[in-house]
Amino acid sequence: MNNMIINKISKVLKKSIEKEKKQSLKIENLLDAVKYAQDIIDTVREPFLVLNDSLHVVTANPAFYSMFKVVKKDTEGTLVYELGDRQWDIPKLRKLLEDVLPKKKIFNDFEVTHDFQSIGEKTMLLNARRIDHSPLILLAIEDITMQKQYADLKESNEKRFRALIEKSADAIALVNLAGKVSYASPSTKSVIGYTPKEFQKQTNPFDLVPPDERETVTQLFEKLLKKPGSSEHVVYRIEHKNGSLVWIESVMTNLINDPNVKAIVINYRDVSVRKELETQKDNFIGIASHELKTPVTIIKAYTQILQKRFEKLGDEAANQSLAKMNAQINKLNTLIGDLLDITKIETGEIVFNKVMFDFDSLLKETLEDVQLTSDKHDIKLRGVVNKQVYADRERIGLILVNLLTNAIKYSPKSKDIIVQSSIDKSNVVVGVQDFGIGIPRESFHAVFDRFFRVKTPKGDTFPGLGLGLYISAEIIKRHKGKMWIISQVGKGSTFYFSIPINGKQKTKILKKDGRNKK
Amino acid sequence: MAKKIMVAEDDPGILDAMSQMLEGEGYEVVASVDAGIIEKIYDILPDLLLLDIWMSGVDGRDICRKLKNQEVTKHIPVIMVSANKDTKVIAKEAGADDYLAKPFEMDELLAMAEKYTR
Repeated sequence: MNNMIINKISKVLKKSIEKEKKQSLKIENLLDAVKYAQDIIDTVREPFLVLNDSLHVVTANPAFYSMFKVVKKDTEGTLVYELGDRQWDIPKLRKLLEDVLPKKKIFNDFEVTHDFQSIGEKTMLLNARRIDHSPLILLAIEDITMQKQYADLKESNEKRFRALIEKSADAIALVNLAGKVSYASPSTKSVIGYTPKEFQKQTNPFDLVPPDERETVTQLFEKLLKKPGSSEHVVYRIEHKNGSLVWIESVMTNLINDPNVKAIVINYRDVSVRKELETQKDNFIGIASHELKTPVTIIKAYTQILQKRFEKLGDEAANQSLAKMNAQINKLNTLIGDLLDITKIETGEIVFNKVMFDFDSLLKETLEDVQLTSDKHDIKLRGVVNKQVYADRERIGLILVNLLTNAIKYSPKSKDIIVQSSIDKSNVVVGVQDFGIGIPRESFHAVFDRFFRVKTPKGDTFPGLGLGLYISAEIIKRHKGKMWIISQVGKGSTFYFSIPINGKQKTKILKKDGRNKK
Repeated sequence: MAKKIMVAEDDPGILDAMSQMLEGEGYEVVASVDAGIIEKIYDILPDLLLLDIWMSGVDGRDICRKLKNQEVTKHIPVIMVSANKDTKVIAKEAGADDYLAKPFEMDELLAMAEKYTR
């Protein structure tokens, strides 16, 4: 009997123990889960609050404490709005917690910007949710102040650069690989009369270039397409919407490989006024130098008449003076000639009188002529070309005179000047070497520029307009030849030019082709 | 008999100097700053014509071409005179016999005069 009771009791006990065991397991599991959740909250780098139904803080994570500079003691159990001297009493937060949350249970990514006493202005993204079957609210606070500042900066930068482009007086067009205008800035209208939209409708940005110039510009553009990163500067005309032709100066840059652009950038402006002034200037110099030639001709003529008379009278002194005067008149005439030449080169009006001539005799003649002007120098001729050359004999002669007089001018303290002629493939090459002051390497590219003048180490310049080499190089260029320099400061310079022996050949072939086609 | 040279040049200074040079060598000079003088060429029939390329609006090239196309005048040597460096090309195109670039050398002018009036 007792046994039965004991058995029963032990069964009940067993059951209750098992039940308790199960319960304690449940509690253990529950505790584990809470710890797990707490671990997550503690680990997350975002500030995090757990609030109860009455919006008092149950717990906060270390990230919260560190970001908002508050301590656990003042936080847990405090009404959220009263945290850190009521810093959290933010109207928008109140609205969210009190109005939105009870109805919707959840809100995501509400952006709040608030000026905190302790940490300054912060922009935050708030995410909150009510936990199911529990009076708890999770509130996650993401500090996006930096991102926001960065985005604002990016936006204002973008706005700034856009404004720079859009407000720029220069028009800017982006052209893609297919040759279509993908962007045209508002200034398009002020420069060529078309609105950006109208301009973008053009099948090709160069459709507006007059036919006779179009090929040159298109060729240049195609050359540019092949060289990412390179740029070309070109001046051409464009037909304005009002029908007039405007001069355009444009810089095209290939930014196809730039991931931010992926286009050819054409930056252009109307330079018609400048062009007009240049034309006026060229015309003026042309007319002025032409007008100067008349008095020079008259002075020279009378000088020579007088010279002849004194010669007959046997007045050698007067004759000598007049000969010197005549030499100066010739110098003046050369300067005027340079001014005229430069005008013709700039306006493309220069005409060549190409003939077949013996190159060696031109060299010999010119050398002898120049030798007469200086007894301090000894001009030596080396090499024989032994060829008939087809070129403008007179102008090639003038180039030689120019190189030789330069050699004399810039080597006042040395005696020798060497002229070397040779054949290189189908070209004649001439080098004029002096042992004078020389030209620094960094000036090599500039010597053939207009108005370039050599400076002595003391900074003095030599007399002259600085046009001779420019004109020479331009004439050589138009003979399809080349001009270059090798020089060393203090050691002297050698100026070279080369021109095709038979400048005629090319035209001949073309003519023949033309006939064959017919 | 002195050789006759006609000079058509619109600048009086150049005209005077040229005339002095040529007369000094014994030539008979018929000179004018007026291109209209060319009309007298049929009566005078000079041994040489010195012709300025630009004479106040009259193109010397046209005059030269015209003279070279007429039976009476085509044998008269024409020397074109100009300050233009391209005088040579222009003279050739117009069918002139020679050219003289301004400013010219006196000896050059006299040598030409002698050559073409021989």
